[in-house]
Amino acid sequence: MRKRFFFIVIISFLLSLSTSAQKRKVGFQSVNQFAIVGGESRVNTAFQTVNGIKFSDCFFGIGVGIDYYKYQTLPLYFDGRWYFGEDKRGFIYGDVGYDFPMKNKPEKEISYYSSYHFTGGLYSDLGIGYHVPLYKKSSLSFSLGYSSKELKTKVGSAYQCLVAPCPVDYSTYEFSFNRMILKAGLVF
Amino acid sequence: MKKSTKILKTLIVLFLFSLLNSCVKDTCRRIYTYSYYLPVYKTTAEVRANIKSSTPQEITNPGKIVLLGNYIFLNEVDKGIHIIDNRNPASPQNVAFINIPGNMDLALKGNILYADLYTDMVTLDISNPLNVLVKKYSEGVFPYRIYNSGFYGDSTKIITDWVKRDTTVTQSCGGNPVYYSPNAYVDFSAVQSSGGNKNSSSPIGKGGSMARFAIVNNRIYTVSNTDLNVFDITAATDPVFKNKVNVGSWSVETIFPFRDKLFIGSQNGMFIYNINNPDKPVSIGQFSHVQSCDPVIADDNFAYVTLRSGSACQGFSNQLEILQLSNITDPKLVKVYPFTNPHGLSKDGNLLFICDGSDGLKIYNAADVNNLKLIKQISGVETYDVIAYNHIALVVANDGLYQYDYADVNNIHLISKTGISKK
Repeated sequence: MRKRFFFIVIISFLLSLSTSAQKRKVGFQSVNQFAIVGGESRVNTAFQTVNGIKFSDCFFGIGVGIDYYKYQTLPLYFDGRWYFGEDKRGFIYGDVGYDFPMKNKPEKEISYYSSYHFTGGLYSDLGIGYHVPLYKKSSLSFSLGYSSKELKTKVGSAYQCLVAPCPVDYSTYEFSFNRMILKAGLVF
Repeated sequence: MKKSTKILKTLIVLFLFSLLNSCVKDTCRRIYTYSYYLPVYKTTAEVRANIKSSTPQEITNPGKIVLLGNYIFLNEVDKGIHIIDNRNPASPQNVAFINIPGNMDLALKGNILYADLYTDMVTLDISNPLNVLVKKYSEGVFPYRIYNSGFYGDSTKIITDWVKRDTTVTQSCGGNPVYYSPNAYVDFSAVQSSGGNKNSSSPIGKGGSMARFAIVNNRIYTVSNTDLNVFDITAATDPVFKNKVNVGSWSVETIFPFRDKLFIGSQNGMFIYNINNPDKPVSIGQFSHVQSCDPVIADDNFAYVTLRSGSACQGFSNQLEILQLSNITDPKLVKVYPFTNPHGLSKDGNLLFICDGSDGLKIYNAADVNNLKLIKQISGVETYDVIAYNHIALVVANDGLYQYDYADVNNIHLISKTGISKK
């Protein structure tokens, strides 16, 4: 249901961009980033690619990536940027979307389990960055932000019994990972 | 100058990044639901008045199973015993039910059935299965009815039923769950089930490898969590408590008799007792293993122990261990075979039957323990315990009692299934 909702929102967003693109001077832009993600648990890496349309001082796109912080996830999100400064090199950005779990196993905070199932949650990122022009429309992008990803896992602990179904205790673990995210990327 | 400024800016950003890392915190919360059961009590007099053969009832939660002659005696956990007429294995008939609240274990010798009734033992004459007669109550012989949640019932009354209550708790991760209940039993599980011995003047019921009662000649041996109890049944209808032996383990699970030995399975090892003096079992050997549930059976030369995971025993091994018993005081591990989730097992001649959970029933030629040869795997059934006897393998599975004919090992086939009612 949640996935369907996001799909509908994405389609609506693209349609609205298409309409506004006809009215203004617009251009396609791709932002491809490597990130270091650091928080309470550890420091990990992430990769992201955001593709969208830039018009005036704004950029709107759709991003997808791989996030290795604690549990591997695949965030799919909307990305919005606003460029500021005299030469429009500074920018603030915001991402919001859904975080899909990849292949994971419960970590040490879940000591005993006989089954598990991960589900995703909200993904968000807010930060500030700077562009360094390279050649023509390409540039290097650096940013520092605060990112949060949510994840759930339903864990079953089975108990012995003679005849199934054996009693199973189910627990749901709800994680909220709050991290700082430092990105470097290539924009073209 | 410009280059050094850039480096400085980069360093500032990195410093800021590492500084802010320590400021952000992850959160984790655990939400769990559990059930607890409030006991429904009856007085001892009320319960005793109702211990008799009654109309057959649906099998819903089967436990230990014992085969005697043409009858199958199947424990309905905490409720009583189903009597199944198995004169025609192709069409077993559920003929009667004996109400015995709190019953989990049973043993049979001749026409006498011994069963636990919470902390008591009841002796029944089953000459006519449709009209069993109580012969004796041995009171308080099982004083410690263990409940995982630390629940202790009212010792002056008998629990005849439970009323289920569900509750949901949210807490931060890291700690253990806190199961609170108002003097109730919190359900974390239960298991159990029965061994066989033929060296007796009266036929003795043959049980599965998960038994906690065993009869050898004129003694009935029972195991509790830590103890081995001995009852003299020379006068079959008048069992007399003779002795209690501390096994030296905190998690005794099963007992299997073979000749003049008792093989006791616990969560952390197998213990061997000599019963040359039947009233004074003497520990003569043991074999330790990792913590796990471990039904055990034995023959003249070897002991077969299955270890499994995914249970209250908290083990992480799923395997069959075969131990050499040539030096009974010092069993040696001969070979380990990996399994999926092995439970009960049984042996008839060179045929070894192993219930491997969701992998079904596996039948091996065990003539050479170093090279078990799979003869047949019966899939599609979640199996838990098996009694192989007289060319019929009686298998307890998640959806019923199955009987397989293995007279011809090349044509092992299903002859009947008695369904279990799911409630």
